[in-house]
Order: sequence, then structure tokens, then C-alpha cells
Amino acid sequence: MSPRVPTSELLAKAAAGDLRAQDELFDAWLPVVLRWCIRLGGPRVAHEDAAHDVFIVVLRKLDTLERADRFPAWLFGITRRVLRKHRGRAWVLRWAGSEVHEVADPHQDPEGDYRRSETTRRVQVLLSSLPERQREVLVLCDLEERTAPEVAELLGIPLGTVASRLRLAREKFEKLAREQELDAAFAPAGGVS
Amino acid sequence: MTDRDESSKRLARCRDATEPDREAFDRVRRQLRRTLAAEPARAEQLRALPGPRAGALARVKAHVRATLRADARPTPFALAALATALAGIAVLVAVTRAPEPDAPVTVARAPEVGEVPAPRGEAPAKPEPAETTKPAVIAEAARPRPAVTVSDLQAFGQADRTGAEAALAKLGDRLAECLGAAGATDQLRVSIVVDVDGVATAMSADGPSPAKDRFSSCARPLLVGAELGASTTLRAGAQEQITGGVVRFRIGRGVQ
Repeated sequence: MSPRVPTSELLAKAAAGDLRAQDELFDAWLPVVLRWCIRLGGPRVAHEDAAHDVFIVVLRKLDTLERADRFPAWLFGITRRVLRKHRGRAWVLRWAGSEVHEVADPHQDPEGDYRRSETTRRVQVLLSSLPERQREVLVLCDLEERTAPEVAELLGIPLGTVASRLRLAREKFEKLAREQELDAAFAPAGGVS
Repeated sequence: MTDRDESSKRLARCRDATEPDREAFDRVRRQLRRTLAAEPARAEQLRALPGPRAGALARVKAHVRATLRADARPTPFALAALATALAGIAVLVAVTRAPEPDAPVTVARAPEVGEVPAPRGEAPAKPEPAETTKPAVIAEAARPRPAVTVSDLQAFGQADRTGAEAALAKLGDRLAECLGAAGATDQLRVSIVVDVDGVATAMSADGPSPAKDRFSSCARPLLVGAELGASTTLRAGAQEQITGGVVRFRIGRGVQ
């Protein structure tokens, strides 16, 4: 479910530092960016930090956006670049032996939290096993349920390319899901029902 | 259930598993607000920062020049390769100039005692002076390193400045080694806690990391326990409540 494309007035106000306009932009698009960061970033990327960085770039560069109707594709391009940087940083931290920053979870159910986060991690691992281009199409089409023309516009690729990448991505995803026994990760605690 | 149904169900579960929670939105939103609010203040702070001091610029320049000199200097590997090449050439020359096995060998008659050997051909060439054959790297290594200087020495409380100066002068060489081993290119600020009897009980160094930590670990065993002196006048009489003092100084290589 994609939010409505922001108007050029709203974007201009947000770029000028209008807090209300910025809040409106955050309300509509922060959930979208956060989902992209979780699903496309992989398990080692701190997705909240990445989403934060995306919006900092957005607000700094907003005045360079020429057409408001291109905002979703422009936002996706920024997210893709920020995620690449974060993935690179996570890779360096991993080899440098530093801990990747994790946000403290305020929930009261540590066991349930662990199970949920473990399931999320397994899905992220599986998604990150796909080539980046296939992963993007699979996430946008099958997880976010966007239409093929919408995805083609978002990624700036022809419709036929979306279809072929999606077919390859689905095949690979199914194969990996079977190999990695992903369904077991969704089973409720205490055994497979 | 068909494969397609199963696949759709799996994808739906993946969607749910990667759905961010409300708290995550709020956290990111709060952090964004904080970052955006801090930006003008941060820019202001950056503008308010003083420019680099002339001393700092000179030190950086000197460091850059030293690095460039070190880069231009032949590396041990290059020297080894050069030596091997020269040895190879020498062997080649010796082999090519060696007489053929079948060629008649002429043996020079050894001069009798008292006989003056007749001059043959040209006079033997004078050996080159030793200085000119020295490679540049040796001359570079022999260049004296700037001496370690201690400046801004101050003594507080019961610590005695004269005693501290004498103790530091005695330890000068070993502190210089520590400074060299620490790779300190800048001055380090050192504080030493001196006990009532004038003996140092603790020390700390301040300056750029990791040089200060390396220097501390090397110099601590030297400085702690050193006799840094105590003021006898302060210790006398009713001053018994004074239990020690502090010695502070700066240490660096060739800087005042």
C-alpha cells in the first residue's frame, strides 16, 4: 500500500524547514522507507538508523527534485544508496570485530521478542541471498503488493524486465525457502502445528 | 493446498515478519527531529571553533615533509634487490673475464726480497674515499633525532620543582625511548602524583591517542616510584595535613 504522492507545495515547505510539512512527509513515507530498509537492507543493517539517514538526505536534497510525481522513485533511489553504504559499513564492522548497533527493545516479553526477531532475521537472510535486482522486485511486488507498472516506474526499468526479474526471483526464493526450511521459522513456539 | 497457495502464504508470513512496529516509527521520528534540531546549532558550533593554531600547522607541515622524505628513501627491500643485482653483475663480470681452461696461464713471478717491482702500465687507481661510497640511507639514519624536551614543568602542593626536574633529567633517556616507542608526534601532558615523602605514586598522560596510552604504559614503571622531591618547608611544622603534591609537565621531541 503506497501513500499518496506528495504535492510540490508540501515538498517545498518541507525543504524550507516547515515542521508540519516535514511531519506530514514522515507520517506518510517513513513506514514505507522503514519497510524497505528491513526487507532490502539485510540482517546486519540497523534499519532504523538507515531510515533516519534516508530522511536526512531527503530533506537536504529535496530542493533538487524537479517533479513531485517522481518523489517515490527518487526516494527509492536514495534508500538504495543509503542501504548500500550501511551494508558496506556493517561488513567492515563485522570484519573489524565490532558489534553492530542494535536498538534496545522496550518490550516486556523477551522470549517472544527473540522468536519474532529470529524469524525476521531468517527472512532477511533469505531475502539477502537473492541478487539485489531480483530482491527489489520480489519485495516490491510480492511483499508490498505493488503493481508491475508501479514497480517499473519506481525502479526505472521496463515492464518486461520487472516480469522476468520477478519470475527468476520467485523461483530462487522458493528454492531457498525449501533449502533453509523457512516454514519452520513461522511455526508457533512449542512445535510445528 | 497447491504450490501457488503455499507460496502466497509463505510470502504473507514473510511480509508480517518484516513489518516494522509502531515504536520503530516513533523512535526514528524522534531521532530525526533531534538531528534536524541540532543541525543549525552544530553548524554554529563549527563556525565558532577557533582556526588551527600556527603551531599546529607547522607540526602538520613538518610531519608531511618527514613522510615525504621517508617515502623517497629506498626501502630495505629495494636495497636488498639492488645488492642482489650488483652481486649478480659482479659474478657475471668475473665469469666472463675468467681465463679459458685451455689458454696458457701466465703466473707472475713473486718479487724477491729487496727487489722493487717494476711499474707495469698505469699506476693503480687510488681507492675512493670511504665517505663517498656511503649510501644515503646510512647518512639519514645517523642524523641525530631531536632531543626530548620537558617544558611547562609545574609543581603543586608539597611537590618540589627542583627535585622533579632532577628526577626527569635522570630519566630523560628512558623517557625518550618511551616517547619514540609510543610514536608520539605531538607533545604529551603528563601529571604525576607525588606522595608526602616526594616519591611518585601515580601518573597519567594526556594527548593524542594512541600515543598517550603507549607512552603511559611504558613510562609508568619509570615514573612511579621515582624520587621527585618534596618541599621540606611545607612538610615542616603544622603542615602535616598536606599529604602530597602534583607535578605537571609537557614532554615532546624538539618542541618547547
